[in-house]
Amino acid sequence: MEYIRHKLRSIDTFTAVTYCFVHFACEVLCFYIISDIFPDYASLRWSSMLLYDVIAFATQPIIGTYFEGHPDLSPGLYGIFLLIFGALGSLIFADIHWISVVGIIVFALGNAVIHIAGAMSTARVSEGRLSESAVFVGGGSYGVITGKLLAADSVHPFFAFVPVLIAVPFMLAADRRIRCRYNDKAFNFKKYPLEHSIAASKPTGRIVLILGLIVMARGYIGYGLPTAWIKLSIHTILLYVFMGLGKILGGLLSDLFGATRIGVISCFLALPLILIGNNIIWLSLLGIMLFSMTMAVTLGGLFSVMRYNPGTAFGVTTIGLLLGSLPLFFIPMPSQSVCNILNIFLSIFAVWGILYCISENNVGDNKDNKDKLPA
Amino acid sequence: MNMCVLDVVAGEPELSFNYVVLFAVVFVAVGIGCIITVIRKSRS
Repeated sequence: MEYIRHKLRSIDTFTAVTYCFVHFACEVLCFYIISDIFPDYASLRWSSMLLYDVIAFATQPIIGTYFEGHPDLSPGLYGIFLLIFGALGSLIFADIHWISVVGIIVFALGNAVIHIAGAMSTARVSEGRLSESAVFVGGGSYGVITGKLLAADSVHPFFAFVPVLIAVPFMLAADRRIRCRYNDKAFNFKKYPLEHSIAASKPTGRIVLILGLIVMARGYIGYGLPTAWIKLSIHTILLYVFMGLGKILGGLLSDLFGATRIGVISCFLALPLILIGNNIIWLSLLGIMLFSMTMAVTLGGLFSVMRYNPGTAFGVTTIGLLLGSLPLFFIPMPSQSVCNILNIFLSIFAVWGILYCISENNVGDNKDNKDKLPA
Repeated sequence: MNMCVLDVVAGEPELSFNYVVLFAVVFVAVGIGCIITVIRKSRS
Protein backbone atom coordinates (compact mmCIF):
# COMPACT_ATOMS: atom_id res chain seq x y z
CA MET A 1 0.00 0.00 0.00
CA GLU A 2 2.84 2.35 0.91
CA TYR A 3 4.46 1.52 -2.44
CA ILE A 4 1.29 2.47 -4.32
CA ARG A 5 0.92 5.67 -2.31
CA HIS A 6 4.54 6.60 -2.98
CA LYS A 7 4.18 5.93 -6.69
CA LEU A 8 0.95 7.91 -6.99
CA ARG A 9 2.41 10.82 -5.01
CA SER A 10 5.32 11.14 -7.45
CA ILE A 11 2.95 11.91 -10.35
CA ASP A 12 2.90 15.54 -11.52
CA THR A 13 -0.85 15.85 -11.13
CA PHE A 14 -1.07 19.53 -12.09
CA THR A 15 0.51 19.13 -15.54
CA ALA A 16 -1.27 15.83 -16.19
CA VAL A 17 -4.72 17.12 -15.26
CA THR A 18 -4.17 20.47 -16.99
CA TYR A 19 -3.26 18.83 -20.30
CA CYS A 20 -6.07 16.29 -19.82
CA PHE A 21 -8.46 19.26 -19.65
CA VAL A 22 -6.73 21.06 -22.55
CA HIS A 23 -7.11 17.89 -24.64
CA PHE A 24 -10.75 17.59 -23.56
CA ALA A 25 -11.49 21.23 -24.44
CA CYS A 26 -9.78 20.94 -27.82
CA GLU A 27 -11.78 17.82 -28.78
CA VAL A 28 -15.05 19.36 -27.57
CA LEU A 29 -14.63 22.27 -29.98
CA CYS A 30 -13.36 20.16 -32.89
CA PHE A 31 -16.08 17.50 -32.61
CA TYR A 32 -18.78 20.08 -31.99
CA ILE A 33 -17.98 21.58 -35.39
CA ILE A 34 -17.06 18.45 -37.34
CA SER A 35 -20.11 16.45 -36.13
CA ASP A 36 -22.48 19.08 -37.44
CA ILE A 37 -20.59 20.35 -40.47
CA PHE A 38 -22.59 20.69 -43.70
CA PRO A 39 -25.65 18.85 -42.32
CA ASP A 40 -27.46 19.09 -45.65
CA TYR A 41 -24.67 17.70 -47.82
CA ALA A 42 -23.59 14.15 -47.03
CA SER A 43 -20.71 13.88 -49.52
CA LEU A 44 -19.19 17.24 -48.61
CA ARG A 45 -19.49 16.26 -44.98
CA TRP A 46 -17.66 12.96 -45.47
CA SER A 47 -14.84 14.61 -47.43
CA SER A 48 -14.51 17.29 -44.73
CA MET A 49 -14.30 14.66 -42.01
CA LEU A 50 -11.59 12.83 -43.93
CA LEU A 51 -9.75 16.11 -44.46
CA TYR A 52 -9.98 16.88 -40.74
CA ASP A 53 -8.64 13.44 -39.79
CA VAL A 54 -5.75 13.70 -42.24
CA ILE A 55 -4.66 17.18 -41.09
CA ALA A 56 -5.15 16.51 -37.37
CA PHE A 57 -3.36 13.14 -37.37
CA ALA A 58 -0.83 13.00 -40.20
CA THR A 59 0.79 16.36 -39.45
CA GLN A 60 1.72 15.50 -35.87
CA PRO A 61 5.13 13.88 -36.61
CA ILE A 62 6.02 16.91 -38.77
CA ILE A 63 4.89 19.40 -36.11
CA GLY A 64 6.59 17.34 -33.40
CA THR A 65 9.91 17.35 -35.26
CA TYR A 66 9.62 21.10 -35.81
CA PHE A 67 9.01 21.97 -32.15
CA GLU A 68 11.76 19.58 -30.97
CA GLY A 69 14.14 21.72 -33.02
CA HIS A 70 12.75 24.94 -31.48
CA PRO A 71 12.68 24.36 -27.71
CA ASP A 72 12.11 28.05 -26.95
CA LEU A 73 8.70 28.08 -28.62
CA SER A 74 5.51 27.16 -26.73
CA PRO A 75 3.49 24.96 -29.09
CA GLY A 76 0.37 25.10 -26.91
CA LEU A 77 -0.09 28.82 -27.51
CA TYR A 78 0.16 28.46 -31.29
CA GLY A 79 -2.20 25.51 -31.13
CA ILE A 80 -4.89 27.37 -29.17
CA PHE A 81 -4.62 30.36 -31.52
CA LEU A 82 -5.03 28.17 -34.63
CA LEU A 83 -7.86 26.21 -33.01
CA ILE A 84 -9.92 29.27 -32.05
CA PHE A 85 -9.18 31.13 -35.30
CA GLY A 86 -10.09 28.13 -37.48
CA ALA A 87 -13.18 27.26 -35.46
CA LEU A 88 -14.48 30.84 -35.63
CA GLY A 89 -13.88 30.95 -39.39
CA SER A 90 -15.62 27.64 -39.89
CA LEU A 91 -18.66 28.62 -37.82
CA ILE A 92 -19.07 32.22 -38.97
CA PHE A 93 -18.73 31.33 -42.66
CA ALA A 94 -20.60 28.03 -42.47
CA ASP A 95 -22.58 28.97 -45.59
CA ILE A 96 -19.51 29.77 -47.69
CA HIS A 97 -18.20 26.27 -48.15
CA TRP A 98 -14.64 27.00 -49.17
CA ILE A 99 -14.01 29.30 -46.18
CA SER A 100 -15.53 26.70 -43.91
CA VAL A 101 -13.19 24.05 -45.35
CA VAL A 102 -10.17 26.35 -44.83
CA GLY A 103 -11.41 26.79 -41.24
CA ILE A 104 -11.45 23.00 -40.82
CA ILE A 105 -7.83 22.81 -42.04
CA VAL A 106 -6.76 25.56 -39.62
CA PHE A 107 -8.45 24.17 -36.50
CA ALA A 108 -7.32 20.64 -37.35
CA LEU A 109 -3.76 22.01 -37.45
CA GLY A 110 -4.40 23.69 -34.10
CA ASN A 111 -5.61 20.38 -32.72
CA ALA A 112 -2.40 18.69 -33.92
CA VAL A 113 -0.17 21.38 -32.37
CA ILE A 114 -2.03 21.14 -29.03
CA HIS A 115 -1.51 17.36 -29.03
CA ILE A 116 2.22 17.85 -29.55
CA ALA A 117 2.33 20.45 -26.75
CA GLY A 118 0.59 18.01 -24.39
CA ALA A 119 2.79 15.10 -25.41
CA MET A 120 6.04 17.04 -24.94
CA SER A 121 5.00 18.64 -21.65
CA THR A 122 3.65 15.49 -20.01
CA ALA A 123 6.60 13.43 -21.28
CA ARG A 124 9.03 15.91 -19.71
CA VAL A 125 7.38 16.07 -16.28
CA SER A 126 6.79 12.31 -16.18
CA GLU A 127 10.50 11.62 -15.58
CA GLY A 128 10.11 8.13 -16.99
CA ARG A 129 6.56 7.36 -15.83
CA LEU A 130 3.61 6.69 -18.14
CA SER A 131 0.86 8.14 -15.93
CA GLU A 132 1.10 11.79 -16.95
CA SER A 133 0.96 11.06 -20.68
CA ALA A 134 -1.88 8.58 -20.16
CA VAL A 135 -3.96 11.10 -18.20
CA PHE A 136 -3.35 13.68 -20.96
CA VAL A 137 -4.43 11.26 -23.71
CA GLY A 138 -7.46 10.03 -21.72
CA GLY A 139 -9.03 13.51 -21.74
CA GLY A 140 -9.64 13.25 -25.49
CA SER A 141 -12.34 10.56 -25.22
CA TYR A 142 -14.43 12.74 -22.90
CA GLY A 143 -13.99 15.68 -25.26
CA VAL A 144 -15.10 13.69 -28.30
CA ILE A 145 -18.37 12.55 -26.73
CA THR A 146 -19.07 15.97 -25.16
CA GLY A 147 -18.53 17.71 -28.51
CA LYS A 148 -20.79 15.21 -30.30
CA LEU A 149 -23.53 15.62 -27.70
CA LEU A 150 -23.37 19.43 -27.86
CA ALA A 151 -23.67 19.24 -31.64
CA ALA A 152 -26.53 16.72 -31.48
CA ASP A 153 -28.45 19.01 -29.11
CA SER A 154 -27.70 22.06 -31.32
CA VAL A 155 -26.29 23.92 -28.33
CA HIS A 156 -25.15 27.50 -29.01
CA PRO A 157 -21.53 27.52 -30.36
CA PHE A 158 -20.42 29.74 -27.47
CA PHE A 159 -20.67 26.77 -25.10
CA ALA A 160 -18.26 24.78 -27.26
CA PHE A 161 -15.68 27.56 -26.85
CA VAL A 162 -16.08 27.82 -23.06
CA PRO A 163 -13.84 24.82 -22.15
CA VAL A 164 -11.08 26.14 -24.49
CA LEU A 165 -11.26 29.60 -22.90
CA ILE A 166 -11.07 28.05 -19.42
CA ALA A 167 -8.14 25.83 -20.51
CA VAL A 168 -5.94 28.67 -21.79
CA PRO A 169 -4.77 30.14 -18.42
CA PHE A 170 -4.18 26.68 -16.98
CA MET A 171 -2.13 25.68 -20.01
CA LEU A 172 -0.05 28.86 -19.76
CA ALA A 173 0.50 28.18 -16.05
CA ALA A 174 1.57 24.60 -16.74
CA ASP A 175 3.96 25.75 -19.46
CA ARG A 176 5.48 28.41 -17.19
CA ARG A 177 5.79 25.90 -14.36
CA ILE A 178 7.69 23.43 -16.55
CA ARG A 179 10.05 26.14 -17.81
CA CYS A 180 10.73 27.39 -14.26
CA ARG A 181 11.23 23.91 -12.86
CA TYR A 182 13.41 22.49 -15.61
CA ASN A 183 15.05 25.67 -16.99
CA ASP A 184 17.08 24.79 -20.13
CA LYS A 185 15.98 21.23 -19.85
CA ALA A 186 12.25 21.99 -20.27
CA PHE A 187 11.74 21.29 -23.97
CA ASN A 188 15.33 20.75 -25.10
CA PHE A 189 15.02 17.05 -25.75
CA LYS A 190 18.08 16.96 -28.02
CA LYS A 191 20.28 17.86 -25.04
CA TYR A 192 18.19 16.34 -22.25
CA PRO A 193 16.37 13.25 -23.53
CA LEU A 194 13.42 11.54 -21.85
CA GLU A 195 13.98 9.02 -19.08
CA HIS A 196 11.55 6.36 -20.29
CA SER A 197 13.11 2.91 -20.40
CA ILE A 198 10.54 0.23 -21.09
CA ALA A 199 11.64 -0.77 -24.59
CA ALA A 200 13.49 -4.01 -25.29
CA SER A 201 17.05 -3.85 -26.64
CA LYS A 202 16.02 -4.22 -30.26
CA PRO A 203 16.61 -2.00 -33.31
CA THR A 204 14.72 1.30 -32.98
CA GLY A 205 13.16 1.12 -36.45
CA ARG A 206 11.75 -2.34 -35.80
CA ILE A 207 10.21 -1.34 -32.45
CA VAL A 208 8.70 1.84 -33.92
CA LEU A 209 7.25 -0.16 -36.81
CA ILE A 210 5.74 -2.88 -34.60
CA LEU A 211 4.32 -0.44 -32.04
CA GLY A 212 2.96 1.72 -34.87
CA LEU A 213 1.26 -1.36 -36.35
CA ILE A 214 -0.24 -2.23 -32.95
CA VAL A 215 -1.73 1.28 -32.73
CA MET A 216 -3.01 0.91 -36.29
CA ALA A 217 -4.63 -2.45 -35.49
CA ARG A 218 -6.16 -0.97 -32.33
CA GLY A 219 -7.48 1.97 -34.36
CA TYR A 220 -9.11 -0.30 -36.92
CA ILE A 221 -10.61 -2.93 -34.62
CA GLY A 222 -11.85 -0.17 -32.33
CA TYR A 223 -14.50 0.55 -34.96
CA GLY A 224 -15.44 -3.11 -35.35
CA LEU A 225 -16.00 -4.01 -31.71
CA PRO A 226 -19.34 -5.73 -31.17
CA THR A 227 -21.54 -3.29 -29.26
CA ALA A 228 -25.10 -4.47 -29.83
CA TRP A 229 -25.96 -3.08 -26.40
CA ILE A 230 -25.64 0.53 -27.60
CA LYS A 231 -29.23 1.64 -27.93
CA LEU A 232 -29.41 4.94 -26.05
CA SER A 233 -27.22 8.04 -25.89
CA ILE A 234 -26.25 7.16 -22.32
CA HIS A 235 -24.72 3.92 -23.66
CA THR A 236 -22.57 5.87 -26.11
CA ILE A 237 -21.52 8.19 -23.27
CA LEU A 238 -20.59 5.17 -21.12
CA LEU A 239 -18.57 3.73 -24.01
CA TYR A 240 -16.44 6.89 -24.30
CA VAL A 241 -16.16 7.27 -20.51
CA PHE A 242 -14.76 3.75 -20.19
CA MET A 243 -12.44 4.28 -23.17
CA GLY A 244 -10.96 7.36 -21.47
CA LEU A 245 -10.79 5.56 -18.14
CA GLY A 246 -8.94 2.66 -19.80
CA LYS A 247 -6.35 4.97 -21.32
CA ILE A 248 -5.73 6.68 -17.96
CA LEU A 249 -5.69 3.44 -15.97
CA GLY A 250 -3.32 1.87 -18.52
CA GLY A 251 -0.67 4.44 -17.62
CA LEU A 252 -1.27 4.39 -13.87
CA LEU A 253 -1.30 0.60 -13.60
CA SER A 254 1.76 0.27 -15.87
CA ASP A 255 3.68 2.52 -13.48
CA LEU A 256 2.51 0.46 -10.52
CA PHE A 257 2.74 -3.09 -11.83
CA GLY A 258 4.87 -2.96 -14.98
CA ALA A 259 4.08 -2.10 -18.58
CA THR A 260 4.56 -5.58 -20.04
CA ARG A 261 2.25 -7.17 -17.49
CA ILE A 262 -0.50 -4.58 -17.97
CA GLY A 263 -0.12 -4.58 -21.77
CA VAL A 264 -0.36 -8.35 -22.11
CA ILE A 265 -3.09 -8.89 -19.48
CA SER A 266 -5.28 -6.11 -20.90
CA CYS A 267 -4.89 -7.44 -24.46
CA PHE A 268 -5.65 -11.02 -23.40
CA LEU A 269 -8.68 -10.18 -21.26
CA ALA A 270 -10.21 -7.46 -23.42
CA LEU A 271 -11.29 -9.56 -26.38
CA PRO A 272 -13.18 -12.38 -24.61
CA LEU A 273 -14.99 -9.82 -22.45
CA ILE A 274 -15.96 -7.76 -25.50
CA LEU A 275 -17.09 -10.83 -27.48
CA ILE A 276 -19.05 -12.36 -24.58
CA GLY A 277 -20.40 -8.97 -23.60
CA ASN A 278 -21.96 -8.16 -26.96
CA ASN A 279 -25.30 -7.89 -25.20
CA ILE A 280 -24.07 -7.49 -21.63
CA ILE A 281 -23.22 -3.87 -21.12
CA TRP A 282 -20.90 -4.08 -18.07
CA LEU A 283 -18.82 -6.94 -19.44
CA SER A 284 -18.42 -5.10 -22.72
CA LEU A 285 -17.50 -1.83 -20.99
CA LEU A 286 -14.90 -3.63 -18.88
CA GLY A 287 -13.50 -5.18 -22.07
CA ILE A 288 -13.38 -1.82 -23.84
CA MET A 289 -11.62 -0.30 -20.84
CA LEU A 290 -8.99 -3.07 -20.93
CA PHE A 291 -8.73 -2.69 -24.71
CA SER A 292 -7.84 1.00 -24.31
CA MET A 293 -5.13 0.27 -21.74
CA THR A 294 -2.56 -0.78 -24.35
CA MET A 295 -2.38 2.82 -25.56
CA ALA A 296 -0.20 3.93 -22.64
CA VAL A 297 2.11 0.96 -23.09
CA THR A 298 2.66 1.56 -26.81
CA LEU A 299 3.23 5.28 -26.22
CA GLY A 300 5.69 4.53 -23.40
CA GLY A 301 7.55 2.10 -25.67
CA LEU A 302 7.81 4.76 -28.39
CA PHE A 303 9.03 7.37 -25.89
CA SER A 304 11.68 4.87 -24.75
CA VAL A 305 13.15 4.31 -28.21
CA MET A 306 12.73 7.92 -29.36
CA ARG A 307 13.91 9.63 -26.18
CA TYR A 308 15.26 12.64 -28.09
CA ASN A 309 12.05 13.09 -30.07
CA PRO A 310 8.86 12.77 -27.96
CA GLY A 311 6.84 14.88 -30.40
CA THR A 312 7.75 12.64 -33.33
CA ALA A 313 7.16 9.56 -31.16
CA PHE A 314 3.65 10.80 -30.38
CA GLY A 315 3.21 11.38 -34.11
CA VAL A 316 3.87 7.67 -34.75
CA THR A 317 0.77 6.82 -32.71
CA THR A 318 -1.38 9.36 -34.57
CA ILE A 319 -0.18 8.17 -37.99
CA GLY A 320 -1.01 4.64 -36.82
CA LEU A 321 -4.49 5.71 -35.72
CA LEU A 322 -5.07 7.52 -39.01
CA LEU A 323 -3.98 4.53 -41.09
CA GLY A 324 -6.22 2.34 -38.91
CA SER A 325 -9.26 4.52 -39.48
CA LEU A 326 -8.65 5.40 -43.16
CA PRO A 327 -10.15 2.16 -44.56
CA LEU A 328 -13.49 3.11 -42.99
CA PHE A 329 -13.74 6.10 -45.31
CA PHE A 330 -13.47 3.87 -48.38
CA ILE A 331 -14.76 0.44 -47.43
CA PRO A 332 -17.77 -0.15 -45.16
CA MET A 333 -17.00 -2.29 -42.08
CA PRO A 334 -17.26 -6.04 -42.78
CA SER A 335 -19.88 -8.18 -41.07
CA GLN A 336 -19.63 -8.71 -37.29
CA SER A 337 -18.35 -12.29 -37.60
CA VAL A 338 -15.52 -11.18 -39.94
CA CYS A 339 -14.75 -8.33 -37.51
CA ASN A 340 -14.58 -10.81 -34.62
CA ILE A 341 -12.11 -13.02 -36.49
CA LEU A 342 -10.04 -9.95 -37.37
CA ASN A 343 -10.16 -8.86 -33.73
CA ILE A 344 -8.79 -12.20 -32.57
CA PHE A 345 -5.86 -12.13 -35.02
CA LEU A 346 -5.02 -8.51 -34.39
CA SER A 347 -5.17 -9.01 -30.62
CA ILE A 348 -2.76 -11.94 -30.85
CA PHE A 349 -0.47 -9.73 -32.92
CA ALA A 350 -0.72 -6.96 -30.28
CA VAL A 351 0.23 -9.37 -27.47
CA TRP A 352 3.20 -10.67 -29.47
CA GLY A 353 4.24 -7.10 -30.32
CA ILE A 354 4.14 -5.96 -26.70
CA LEU A 355 6.14 -9.00 -25.57
CA TYR A 356 8.67 -8.34 -28.35
CA CYS A 357 9.04 -4.57 -27.87
CA ILE A 358 8.49 -3.98 -24.16
CA SER A 359 10.80 -5.51 -21.61
CA GLU A 360 11.26 -3.24 -18.60
CA ASN A 361 8.89 -3.43 -15.66
CA ASN A 362 10.29 -0.62 -13.57
CA VAL A 363 8.85 2.43 -15.23
CA GLY A 364 9.53 5.60 -13.31
CA ASP A 365 12.14 4.02 -11.10
CA ASN A 366 14.97 5.83 -12.81
CA LYS A 367 16.43 7.01 -9.54
CA ASP A 368 19.87 7.60 -11.08
CA ASN A 369 18.36 9.97 -13.57
CA LYS A 370 16.07 11.57 -11.01
CA ASP A 371 19.06 12.58 -8.87
CA LYS A 372 20.41 14.57 -11.79
CA LEU A 373 17.26 16.65 -12.14
CA PRO A 374 17.29 20.26 -11.02
CA ALA A 375 15.25 20.86 -7.87
CA MET B 1 -21.56 2.50 -41.09
CA ASN B 2 -23.74 2.15 -44.18
CA MET B 3 -22.24 4.91 -46.24
CA CYS B 4 -18.67 5.81 -47.09
CA VAL B 5 -17.02 8.84 -48.59
CA LEU B 6 -17.17 7.41 -52.11
CA ASP B 7 -20.96 7.58 -52.12
CA VAL B 8 -21.15 11.08 -53.55
CA VAL B 9 -24.72 12.26 -53.64
CA ALA B 10 -25.75 13.67 -57.03
CA GLY B 11 -26.46 17.38 -57.12
CA GLU B 12 -24.59 18.16 -53.88
CA PRO B 13 -21.60 20.50 -53.66
CA GLU B 14 -18.48 18.41 -53.62
CA LEU B 15 -15.14 18.94 -51.91
CA SER B 16 -13.23 17.19 -54.64
CA PHE B 17 -12.62 13.78 -53.22
CA ASN B 18 -9.49 13.25 -55.32
CA TYR B 19 -7.84 16.29 -53.76
CA VAL B 20 -8.59 15.06 -50.26
CA VAL B 21 -7.09 11.66 -51.07
CA LEU B 22 -4.05 13.36 -52.61
CA PHE B 23 -3.78 15.45 -49.42
CA ALA B 24 -3.94 12.28 -47.33
CA VAL B 25 -1.26 10.51 -49.35
CA VAL B 26 1.10 13.51 -49.28
CA PHE B 27 0.71 14.19 -45.56
CA VAL B 28 1.02 10.54 -44.55
CA ALA B 29 4.12 10.19 -46.76
CA VAL B 30 5.73 13.33 -45.33
CA GLY B 31 4.81 12.22 -41.78
CA ILE B 32 6.33 8.77 -42.26
CA GLY B 33 9.37 10.36 -43.97
CA CYS B 34 9.79 12.60 -40.93
CA ILE B 35 9.71 9.61 -38.56
CA ILE B 36 12.23 7.67 -40.68
CA THR B 37 14.58 10.68 -40.84
CA VAL B 38 14.40 11.15 -37.07
CA ILE B 39 15.15 7.47 -36.44
CA ARG B 40 18.07 7.47 -38.90
CA LYS B 41 19.48 10.67 -37.37
CA SER B 42 19.26 9.30 -33.83
CA ARG B 43 21.13 6.17 -34.96
CA SER B 44 24.10 8.13 -36.29
